[in-house]
Amino acid sequence: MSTSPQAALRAALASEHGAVYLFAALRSRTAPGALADALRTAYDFHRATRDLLADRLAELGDPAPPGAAPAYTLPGGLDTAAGVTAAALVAEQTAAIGYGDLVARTTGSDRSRAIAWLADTAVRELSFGGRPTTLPGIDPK
Amino acid sequence: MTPPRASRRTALGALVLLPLLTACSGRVDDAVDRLRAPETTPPAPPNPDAAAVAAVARAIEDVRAAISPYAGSQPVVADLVALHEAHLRALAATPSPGTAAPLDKDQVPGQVRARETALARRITTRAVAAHDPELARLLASMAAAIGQRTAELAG
Repeated sequence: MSTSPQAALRAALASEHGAVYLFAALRSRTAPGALADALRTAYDFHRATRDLLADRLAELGDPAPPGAAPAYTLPGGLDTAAGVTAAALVAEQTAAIGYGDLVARTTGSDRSRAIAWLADTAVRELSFGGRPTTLPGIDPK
Repeated sequence: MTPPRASRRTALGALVLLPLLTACSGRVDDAVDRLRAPETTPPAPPNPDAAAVAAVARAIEDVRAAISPYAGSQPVVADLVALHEAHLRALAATPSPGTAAPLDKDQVPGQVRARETALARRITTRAVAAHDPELARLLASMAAAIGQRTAELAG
């Protein structure tokens, strides 16, 4: 695994493309209500993060930042609200670990942003049934 | 009996080299002294993050000391006390009672939230500046964990 800050930003952007796709898919399967609102918040967050990462890579002169795949494999069990909630929670927990990696692999303003993203995502986990943990964003494995 | 040729050459060489070595012995001793391993382990280079870790640990201890008396008031406050203890262990901080700036008992939730938010901000500042990437990750995660509890406190 490359440890350069730019490689870390590229990996984060690739993950955000997947998160945007997933949250759009989850929203489309959810009736209006609290869960739909939480999914909307998550979708907006990941879309904004994706755009910030793309802008940052452009600023760094990256000639070909990662683009979105035509489609991503969705998790199973999305035919119930519980399944959608569980998928959203896993996605946010995975994103938080990704932001933790970005914190470790960047410095300065890139690290500042990653810390803020980690904090926001850790709180959003709670809206999908997550419980507060001792060290969110650190892979316990 | 004639000594073997090699032995005679060795003896001659020793005759030539011995005075040279004796003359140079001072310099050789100096060189050996310079090359000799130190008798004690040299001190480790100073940890550039040591002050930051100590400052974070102190800040956590102070907030823990301030909110501990109210741990029975709400489960989330008790959870925060336990969280701070876990974080101090993660930092390998030497236990200290901390300096408790007392809370106004009529405004405990709001004051706990304010102290915790300020603590998370301080930890975040240290995370941004940390030299060690893994310390940066740990501090960022600690700040996020506090944020999860303060969100519950607000809710």
